[in-house]
Amino acid sequence: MTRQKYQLVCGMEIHAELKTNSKMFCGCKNDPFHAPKPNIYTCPVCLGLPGALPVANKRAIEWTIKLGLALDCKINLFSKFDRKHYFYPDLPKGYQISQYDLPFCYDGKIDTEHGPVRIHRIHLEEDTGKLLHKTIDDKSVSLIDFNRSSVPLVEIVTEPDIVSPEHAAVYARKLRTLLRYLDIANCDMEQGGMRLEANVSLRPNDKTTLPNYKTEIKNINSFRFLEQAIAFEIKRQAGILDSEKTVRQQTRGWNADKQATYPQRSKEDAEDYRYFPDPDIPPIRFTAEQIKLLRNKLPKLPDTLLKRWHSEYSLPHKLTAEVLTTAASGALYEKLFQTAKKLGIPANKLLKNILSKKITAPDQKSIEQTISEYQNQTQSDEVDSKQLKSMVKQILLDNPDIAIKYFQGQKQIIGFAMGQAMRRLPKNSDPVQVRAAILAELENKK
Amino acid sequence: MKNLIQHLAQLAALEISDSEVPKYQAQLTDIFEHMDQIKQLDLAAIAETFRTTEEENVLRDDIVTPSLSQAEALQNASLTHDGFFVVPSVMKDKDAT
Amino acid sequence: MLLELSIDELAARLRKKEITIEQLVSESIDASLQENEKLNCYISLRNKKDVLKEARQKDLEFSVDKPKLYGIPFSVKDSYVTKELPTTSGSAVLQNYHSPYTATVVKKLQAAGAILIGKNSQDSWGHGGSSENTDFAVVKNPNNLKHIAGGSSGGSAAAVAAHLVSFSIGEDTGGSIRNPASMCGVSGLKVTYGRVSRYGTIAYASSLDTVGPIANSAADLALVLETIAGADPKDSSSSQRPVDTYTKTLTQQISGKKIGLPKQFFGDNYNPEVRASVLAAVEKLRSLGLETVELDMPVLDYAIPIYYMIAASETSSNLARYDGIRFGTGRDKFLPESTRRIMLGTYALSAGYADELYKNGQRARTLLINSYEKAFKNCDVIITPTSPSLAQKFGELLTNPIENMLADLFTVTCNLVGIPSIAIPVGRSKDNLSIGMQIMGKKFAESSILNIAHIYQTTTQ
Repeated sequence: MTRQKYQLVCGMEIHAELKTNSKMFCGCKNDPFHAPKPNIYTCPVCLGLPGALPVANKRAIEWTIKLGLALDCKINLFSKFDRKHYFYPDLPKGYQISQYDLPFCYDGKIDTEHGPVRIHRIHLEEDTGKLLHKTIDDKSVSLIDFNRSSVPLVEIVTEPDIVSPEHAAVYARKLRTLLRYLDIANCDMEQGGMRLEANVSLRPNDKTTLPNYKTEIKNINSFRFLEQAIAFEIKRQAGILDSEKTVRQQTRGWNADKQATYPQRSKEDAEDYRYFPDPDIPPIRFTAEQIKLLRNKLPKLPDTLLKRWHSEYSLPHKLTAEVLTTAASGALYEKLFQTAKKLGIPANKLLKNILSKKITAPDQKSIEQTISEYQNQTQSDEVDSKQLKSMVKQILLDNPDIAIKYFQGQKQIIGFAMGQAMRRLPKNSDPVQVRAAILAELENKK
Repeated sequence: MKNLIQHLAQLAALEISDSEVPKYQAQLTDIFEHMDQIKQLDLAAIAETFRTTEEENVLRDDIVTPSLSQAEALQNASLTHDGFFVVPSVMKDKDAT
Repeated sequence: MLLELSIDELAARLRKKEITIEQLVSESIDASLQENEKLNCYISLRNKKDVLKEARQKDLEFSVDKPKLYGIPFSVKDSYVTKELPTTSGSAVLQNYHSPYTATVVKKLQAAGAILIGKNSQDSWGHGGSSENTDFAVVKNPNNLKHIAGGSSGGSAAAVAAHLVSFSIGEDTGGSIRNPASMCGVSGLKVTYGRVSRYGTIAYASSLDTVGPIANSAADLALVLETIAGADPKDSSSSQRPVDTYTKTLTQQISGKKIGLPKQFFGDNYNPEVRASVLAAVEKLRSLGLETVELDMPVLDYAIPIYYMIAASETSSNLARYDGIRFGTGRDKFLPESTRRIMLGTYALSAGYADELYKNGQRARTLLINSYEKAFKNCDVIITPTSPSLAQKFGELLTNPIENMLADLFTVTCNLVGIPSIAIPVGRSKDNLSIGMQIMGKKFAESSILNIAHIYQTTTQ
């Protein structure tokens, strides 16, 4: 009931680690999740040793721009890195190299089935080390591993456009699909390769101004938790507002066991990051031509392909989204569907067989292999030709329009006849055989 | 001002004892006053200069170069355990679910 | 003493087999060990056995085509990380810190065959102009042991002045090479920002820090600069410009060049002996055919607040890494001078003040740059005293934070603007204390100021 009285105002901040070979500001290997030992991918730069200096990774910057262009962002032709200061044991320099007032990308947009979400900005920064908490010799300690220190991290910040918990989850999922599709991030949620943060507040339904408070829910590591946490916050905040109290500006975490958010260290008062431009890193300047070049290199985006596959091959998004994981897979399946169409193989069936693992997916071997397996499989379901012939005769009798239209030149009517026949036949019947039978019967009528 | 000294010390992770506060307070007041001279300049329409290097776009290719060994990384640490750096637990102020 | 000779002369004698590297290095390490007892100019010295072993090996490998620095003993300020010796930056925070890598400048010198003898005392973190702000023993001025050696690279200047090494690498953020060079009566070069790689230099203020040599003459400085200058892929702020051959242009004709004299730096508000000596040196240059022109640069009056606003802001950030976790002892070990600078910088950058303080500092820096650009339209170099005072007695600066700041008045603007400047000795006071003059040049015009300094030095000797 509270949901009717208040409206959700929600924006998100999502961090994703880029999968470059080397780290953001040094040549150490960027592979924190597979490192066999702690502190083996470190150097003076990412350990923040005295005298060390950062040198920015060109590919990480290009990938950030690539993501920005895919999200319809504007690109700052002049940009720079800034230092963001705070003390924490996993932050070796006492500051994080990030971007303050000139992020690489800003003002973008992404459409979702629950409505559009505007992108406020995308900036590039470095990740921190990783803390582990243990008891050693009866003392609680934190262990630090800097293998992750200075791994490139993009932060995608939205406008407060998210209207429901479902909307948030759909947006976050879609962003992950895009990051993977562009082949710039693995987004391993469990390992922390993608981290979700939602800023949640409520306003009365009749208001359009932004609420004067927000609750940040931090470190959410699954889409389901994201949805649950926002839903919980809506209830919690509505309860507070109903009792005419004010909601505290706070950082909260999500406890999945208790199915509740809980207040985290309220460091808001102390937060003063003292940003200033990092004097160690010269600014970055792009020309409009360079951006145009990067734009041209962008692959066909998932939304464009999904739409095309729907209109061209009548493939529902639900199926195609599963195989559209990278730009490379997009191109491969596009080719597969084209080949199938030429051979008269229905794309829908072909894809269903691939997804149910009845036949080998094209990225495992080849398009040819997939097609031939499909053909072999459907051949084994050959229909008895006498039975088929009499059935087709009956269909043409019941639907005299088919023959009329066919002879008028409307060859696509075959599709309708096919549909009628296939419905009466067992699953996996060979459509090539059925089609041939219909054509033969029509020729007989001539 | 006393609060300011303590606030700055906290931001900078410096420990300044109560007995030291008056000394720093007096010295920093003098220094802040000296700094205030800048206010006499008309800076409204002036752009900042953050660096004097003329370089731009100095970037490195995404190539992996050798790291330090674990022993080298840890060699100057006061406390280590099993290849990790060790600090007193930070769990108190940062919750993990 | 061999180490009183120029590097050129030493290189010539090595080639003529009149001396050996072992002889030279042995003199250096012996004198260093002995004099350090008195001068405290080193924080750490290499083991004599190791140094002599290296020297003998170099004697074996010596050939006439080796670089001139081959076999020449040198030292570095303890703000450069080296694998060989501990690196402390003059602070107990880094007591016994052993760097797993070596600074680019040291690597380049070692690649040219120069032999590292030891690491010099300094004001901790570069914070100071007297080398008294240290957790180690305080450097004494070789000219008068009751006086400071200047700072922050006091140990480097003292080691060169006492002829313990042929040259030393100092670090200059607001005058830290030029000020002690002036007080110890030796030559020091602050380079154009980015001319020498900062990789492996413990940062004081990153947009102001420069790496440069201290030596007995402009000619020696030119030789060292040729070796250490140049782009470094590990320092993205290092300049990609090609490096000049500074030794080739030392003896160029200088008559007709114009010297600018900013009237703001020739007032009567500082030591009259200093002013008189510098004006006499300018007169000498006029007699060599140079012209002078008076400059009016009102923004120079604001140099100190502009410098401290920026330097303190950056140092509060650069010193944030000293948390005692991965190395070092912890933040409770900073001395009061560094604590003040960290607090000032934290204040200047903090929410609500950053625009008025830090950013206004950077805006005022633009005015300074504009003022210098305009000045250099009317002159080739600018000459000022190096320090407004003679070397003080111990304790005089340390107890007075504001006085300590004002000691940098003539030197800080070069760092804010990014231009090079050479400090050379031009006389002695009644009390036999050295007086220095600095010649500032346009960006990357090191060859021009080395040239004028060299002609001055060779004609006044």
